[in-house]
Amino acid sequence: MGIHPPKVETFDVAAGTNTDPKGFVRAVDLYREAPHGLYLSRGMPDHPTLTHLRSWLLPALGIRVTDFTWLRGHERRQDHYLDIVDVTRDGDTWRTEDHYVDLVVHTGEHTEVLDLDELAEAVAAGLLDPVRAERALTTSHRTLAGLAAHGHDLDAWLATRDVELSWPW
Amino acid sequence: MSPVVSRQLVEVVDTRSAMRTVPLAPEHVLEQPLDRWQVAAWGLRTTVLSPEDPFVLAETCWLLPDHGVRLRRRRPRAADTVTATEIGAVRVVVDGDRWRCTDLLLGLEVVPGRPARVAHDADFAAAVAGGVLSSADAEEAMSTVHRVLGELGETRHDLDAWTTSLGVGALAGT
Repeated sequence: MGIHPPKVETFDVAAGTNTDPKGFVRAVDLYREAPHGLYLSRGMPDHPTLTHLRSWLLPALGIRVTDFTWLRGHERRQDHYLDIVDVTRDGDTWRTEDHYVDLVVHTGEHTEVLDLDELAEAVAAGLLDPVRAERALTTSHRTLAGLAAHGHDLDAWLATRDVELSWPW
Repeated sequence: MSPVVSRQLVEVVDTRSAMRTVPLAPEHVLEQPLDRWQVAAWGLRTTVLSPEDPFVLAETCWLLPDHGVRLRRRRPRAADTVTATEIGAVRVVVDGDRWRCTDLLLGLEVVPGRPARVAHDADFAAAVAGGVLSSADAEEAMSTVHRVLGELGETRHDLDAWTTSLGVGALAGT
């Protein structure tokens, strides 16, 4: 698989839409802003294995936390999916730039780290500059260390950062 | 300070001749006699004295081939200096008496009483971008450091608990 530039998504709270990395504009069922970030809930029509996503963008932590809902027969044993991202905001529009590395939290058990190969290839290919690569590494290390120190419990780790997440539909 | 694109360092320990060879520059190799060494099931421990170093008495390294790490601890001359332990991502190839250790340019630093912190990540990113480190080596380094960081987190950053879990035992006093 060829390596791709960092994926960018936009979240237009006023318009109630989320433009995915391929440019498709999706209707969002619910946006909610909080001091620590932006929450959204939306369906995933036409996706082969997923029906719904609920996500928190957490700018200060450099992560996007997602709880996916799976089609029957496609369920996976995972509790939270964390993307390492830069989050920026311009008025009602939020923007994420994905920096390849993902963490999958299996609460109380372990945390998987995915797509380090993509990060390495992107840096080598000049698609991600060293400054952003360093930031991605720092964020993934800090996040993994925090999760490991709290029994791989996302809520327990976030509580130490004064962040409490809720997941309305 | 701007990141430095480092060369990838390969050091060789030869237990037959009791020497460690460290490349310092393209045409400058440092040869250091081993003061002590121990081959164990988990790997190799070496100690090199540094009589000319004004700050460091000796350096002890633990090479753990199966875990892809090198632990390094420098014993300071000043008794009141806190000793940090470096945990570097490396690739170790053992060929008879020769232990060849390739530095993957990313690691952790552990200071007693503090969480481990990642070291050299700016240099590492620059090395990958500059082609000093291949993508495959970079992935290996990042995987190793993430794995070790997770393991240390589970032991509350208790270095001796972690090294004991690897079969090395406590580093204290070595």
